[in-house]
Amino acid sequence: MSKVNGGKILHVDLTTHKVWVEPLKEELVKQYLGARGINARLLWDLVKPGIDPLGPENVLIFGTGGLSGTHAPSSGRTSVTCLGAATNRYLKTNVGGYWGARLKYAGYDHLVIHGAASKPVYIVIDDDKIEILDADEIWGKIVKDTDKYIKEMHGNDFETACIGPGGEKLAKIAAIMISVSFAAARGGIGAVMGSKNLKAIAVRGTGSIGIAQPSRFNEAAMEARDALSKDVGAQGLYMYGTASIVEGVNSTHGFPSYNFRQGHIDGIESLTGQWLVEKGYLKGRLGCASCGVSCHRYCTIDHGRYKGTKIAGPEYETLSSLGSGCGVTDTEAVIKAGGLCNDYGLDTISTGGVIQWAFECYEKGLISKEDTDGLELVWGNGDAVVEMVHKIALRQGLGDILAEGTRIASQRIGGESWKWAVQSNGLEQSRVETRAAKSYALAFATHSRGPDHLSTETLAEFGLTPEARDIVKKVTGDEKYANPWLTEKRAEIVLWHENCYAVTDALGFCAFSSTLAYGVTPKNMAEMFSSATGIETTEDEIMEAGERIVNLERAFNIKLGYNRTHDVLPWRVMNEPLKVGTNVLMNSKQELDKMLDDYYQLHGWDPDTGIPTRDTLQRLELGDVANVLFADS
Amino acid sequence: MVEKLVIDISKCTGCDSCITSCSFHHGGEFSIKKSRIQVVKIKEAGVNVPLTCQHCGEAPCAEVCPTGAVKRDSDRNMVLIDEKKCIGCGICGLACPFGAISYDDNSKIAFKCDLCNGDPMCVKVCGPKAIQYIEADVPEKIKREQLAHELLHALVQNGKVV
Repeated sequence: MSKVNGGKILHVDLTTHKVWVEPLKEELVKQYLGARGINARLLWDLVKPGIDPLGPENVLIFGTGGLSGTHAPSSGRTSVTCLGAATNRYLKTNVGGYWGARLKYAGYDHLVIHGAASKPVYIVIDDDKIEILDADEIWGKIVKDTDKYIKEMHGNDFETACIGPGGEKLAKIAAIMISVSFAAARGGIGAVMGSKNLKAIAVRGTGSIGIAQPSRFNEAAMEARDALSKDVGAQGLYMYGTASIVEGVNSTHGFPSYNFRQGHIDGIESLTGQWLVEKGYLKGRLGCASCGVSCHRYCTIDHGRYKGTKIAGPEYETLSSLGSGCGVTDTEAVIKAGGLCNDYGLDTISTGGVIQWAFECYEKGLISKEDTDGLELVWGNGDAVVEMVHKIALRQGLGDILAEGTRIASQRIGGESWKWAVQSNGLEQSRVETRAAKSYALAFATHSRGPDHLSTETLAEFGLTPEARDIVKKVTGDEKYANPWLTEKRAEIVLWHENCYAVTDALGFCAFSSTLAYGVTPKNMAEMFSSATGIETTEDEIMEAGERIVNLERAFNIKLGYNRTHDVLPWRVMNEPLKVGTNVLMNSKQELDKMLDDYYQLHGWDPDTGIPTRDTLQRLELGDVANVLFADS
Repeated sequence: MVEKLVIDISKCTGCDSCITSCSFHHGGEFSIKKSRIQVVKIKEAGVNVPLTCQHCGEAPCAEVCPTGAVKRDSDRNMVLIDEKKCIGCGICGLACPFGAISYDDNSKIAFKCDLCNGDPMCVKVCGPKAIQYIEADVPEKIKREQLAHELLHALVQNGKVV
């Protein structure tokens, strides 16, 4: 096994309390690189079609980045994979923090949780010593108190991954919180952990990670660090966080507001990263393991009705989902609501998504003041957003329905509320205006996990930087395609980004280093991977590994019965126009169909079904996967 | 002019780059345990505190070392451990007020920051420049300048200076 890996996959079965270690085969590293890639292979091998995502047959797989634990820049991210609770399809979440690197130092690249405990437990991984302990004392506790308890019981040098009351109560919008303030957020992954009666996983690693060719690796890592430190986007992320771009995005009508009825909101200043700094909310900047960018925020509210609030964030997504999406520009209400999501272990994107859907139901008379226990769910009422977060996490009143996520909630409330349920395939769409960005529209329709930006971030189509324009030119042949309103050549842009993103996730890098800031290139990543593992890999080969991962994830969904008919976008963004100045922007079926045709063809997938062909799978050394998909033919 | 490792807690983001790069530079491996710099994270306050050897002028570790292995090199403003003389008794670690001296389980001797022989790796990887290797009197100069500006601001506010 290459030295940069811990070399082991740790398995814990909570039904039988059995713990075992499986050696990590080098072939897996070569083909799937790490984290998201190897997780996808394990999921393919372990999860059979037809199971209940919240049943003991589902697995919860934690994967450290292939280069996590090293000083490669922004390389400390972890992927968590399972059958999604909200989506009942492939689910990968990706998260920063320090936990993943610690798991690697303890000697494990991956951790697979099987089965379900009969009563609440937590797992302690202390190098070779693995314990499954009684969690009665912490069940019900919020995230930071859970972390505090574990540190008091086991030591300050343990890092935690845990759920809050949201995951315990199986909210399908619940997150797993890593190192207290970093969320593996989407698709109801916290509910899967909750369904296993697993409150937390504490890790301490005192071991080392080696490198095949240290000086070559150091040179590559330092070169990438240098490139990132000079990148303007990365500098903006440090200064003002992900919210640095809020005002710019709002001015182009791309900042989803009022439940995606419009792409801008008046009074945007108070939702910007700049405002957080100027008004003194920002108290610190936090960096994930090995990250010099440090986009994460630490904010406090020192006066007024939410005095004493201390939170990590708020991020761009949170400011739109719990802010503009609900018509709210009240900074403190958004900070408070975001902080509560962290405490309760809820995904801010989905929580805000379902709350703004409820606001619209209230406006249209499908939800009454009686249903809300007197809360007025009117646009702009930030305090109502805060109260709804409490109700969702604790499943009180209307919160019990909203905790099921927008898709199920709209089925329960009925009427035409499905039309403004801005979700597809069970996942609340993230805060991107796809009517004004066609690569995003195509990517959101086709992602294996559902409609969001965290498997393919196609920012290059805006052509905002020289690096972005270079990428568009490289993949389409002409810089003129750096235009988000075009539908031509979107497939080329999406494909490059999804392969690059898969490599990024698999090696533990952050999208803000490689597919948003474009400071770390596939060539850099191939060089770092080669020198760290000793598995010599070219830029093209590493991008092909990315393509392999994307195809395997697709194949997993195909195995569950999904196909082209499920590559869709939320109804609202397909049927209601977005006004941008004198332009009226839409996603039409005809337009999406054309982009899908291009996309399947470029991928080597069947254009009628959207299923990867046998030839494509064989080219990607996924012949065994093809044998399963085409068992009948 | 001699240089000094200067740490600004307010700038540290807790990314651990310094920790892992340190162990890599010294032993070719990434490890928290083998690092000569550590970062204490106070999560409830959002504060991260990097701690390493301060290369003290009156170094307690050197004073208590029974074999003379720990010595101060005044010319280079460094306190260094002579690996050949170190017997691994750990007294220096007890004396150090910063918890900056660790014990290596394999080689059975003490280890601590050696400033990478004048080109510290932790400084190179610190994105927000929380760790700097600069002329020893610069921090005081910076503090004096900051204070002067604050005083000026206060005087202007009180109408003492126009």
